[in-house]
Amino acid sequence: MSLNRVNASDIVKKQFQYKLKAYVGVFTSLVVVQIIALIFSYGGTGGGFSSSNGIDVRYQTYTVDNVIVLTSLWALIHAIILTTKKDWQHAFPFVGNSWTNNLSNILLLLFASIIAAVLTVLSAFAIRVIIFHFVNEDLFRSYTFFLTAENILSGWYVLTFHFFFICAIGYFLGTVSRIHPMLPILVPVIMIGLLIVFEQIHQGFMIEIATFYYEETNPALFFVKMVTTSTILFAVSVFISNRTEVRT
Amino acid sequence: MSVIPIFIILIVIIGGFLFFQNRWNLGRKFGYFLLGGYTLFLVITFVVYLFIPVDAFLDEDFPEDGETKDMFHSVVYNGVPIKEFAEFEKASWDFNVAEGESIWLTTEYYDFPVIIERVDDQEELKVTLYEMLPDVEPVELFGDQGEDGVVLQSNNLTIYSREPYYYELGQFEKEFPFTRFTAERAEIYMHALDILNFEKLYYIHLPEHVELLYSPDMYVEWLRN
Repeated sequence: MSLNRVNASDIVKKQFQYKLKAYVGVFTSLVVVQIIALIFSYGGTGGGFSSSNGIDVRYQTYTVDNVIVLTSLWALIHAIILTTKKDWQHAFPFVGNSWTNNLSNILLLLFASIIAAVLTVLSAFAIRVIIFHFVNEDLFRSYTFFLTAENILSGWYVLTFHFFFICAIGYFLGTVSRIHPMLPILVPVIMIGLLIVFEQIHQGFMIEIATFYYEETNPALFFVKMVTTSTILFAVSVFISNRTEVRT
Repeated sequence: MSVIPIFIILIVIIGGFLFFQNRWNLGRKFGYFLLGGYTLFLVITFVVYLFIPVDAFLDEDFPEDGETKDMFHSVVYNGVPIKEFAEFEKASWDFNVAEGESIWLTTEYYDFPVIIERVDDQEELKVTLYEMLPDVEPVELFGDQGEDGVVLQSNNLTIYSREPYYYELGQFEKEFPFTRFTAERAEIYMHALDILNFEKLYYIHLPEHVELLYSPDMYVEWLRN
């Protein structure tokens, strides 16, 4: 028996450092997903056609939406994967308990969200450069092409909390699925079913939820909404995890 | 593009990547090398982006409101002589018309504004085409695009117009998450015609002794002297 007293923060720190090395696949897949999203963005995400006497104009609209959507999917999947039994057992080379393991996982997800947000914002410039130099189209609006420092900061801030929020949802769903062997199949079905039922009972329910989080124009309130919801989801996940913890 | 092919390609690329990663036993160093390389690529594109000149965009050439040339409006409502727009003259056609004749004006394919000015010191009927094209080059299309022309036959003065010019333009949308906390919002509607500043009109110098008839549907304005 060791007489060394180790405090929780040291354990969390060590586990976090260990996981940064062990879960390098999280970042590898992030790069792959973003490259794919950039390729898809090359074709544009929308467009239209306008015709007037003597002139026809076909226009293509380019956005960073593909990168955001696919990176969100990446965040959801990796948060779920972190809660699987196989990955859960990776966390025990160090002295620790379920609490420290969960906390180091949450730190890893937060760190991954920050990196993903930085890369997503930078990818907005990559798309602009690629389209400007390699697509044979004249760009007719400079206003939406150039991003100000405020835009960049806003983008990074919003995306960090957005990806972290998605991670919280994934972590919650993954943890709930561990309660019973049937739940990995049932949880998605129940979730989708509930969303449909709520939508039928109260039309516009999903839009209202999206509006509540993503139409917030006050940065502080946006932070409060995102962090509070993420904290609740992680807290419930930790609670469930502690109750279901059986290590064989 | 449909969502399904996107996911199929996504699965193929990720599956292929994982397959080769396991087969060649690509480890942790490779993962961080990939992340570093990608970040470097993005940083380089950011630096390249900083050198993109603002004047490379079409809207930068577009004059401020109220400064547009707007030939039709200037000539018809502001009394600006058409000579002021001589630089936009593309073609003209002259026709000898006998005294007292009635001419029926029609258009083929496309309608454009027609301005008519009575002239008393001229025997010929003169039609002039004015065309103000944007600075950007239109896309060259295959096949015969026709050409502008005016024909007088059996007292019918017919204006033929070529196929419309075709442009392919691109624009970026600056929306979520970049404008989340600012008053600015992405303007994703086009304004392409404003930016392109396109205008095409026919100007007819009509001798005093000729009567010109046309359908009320036509966009015709007479200059009042």
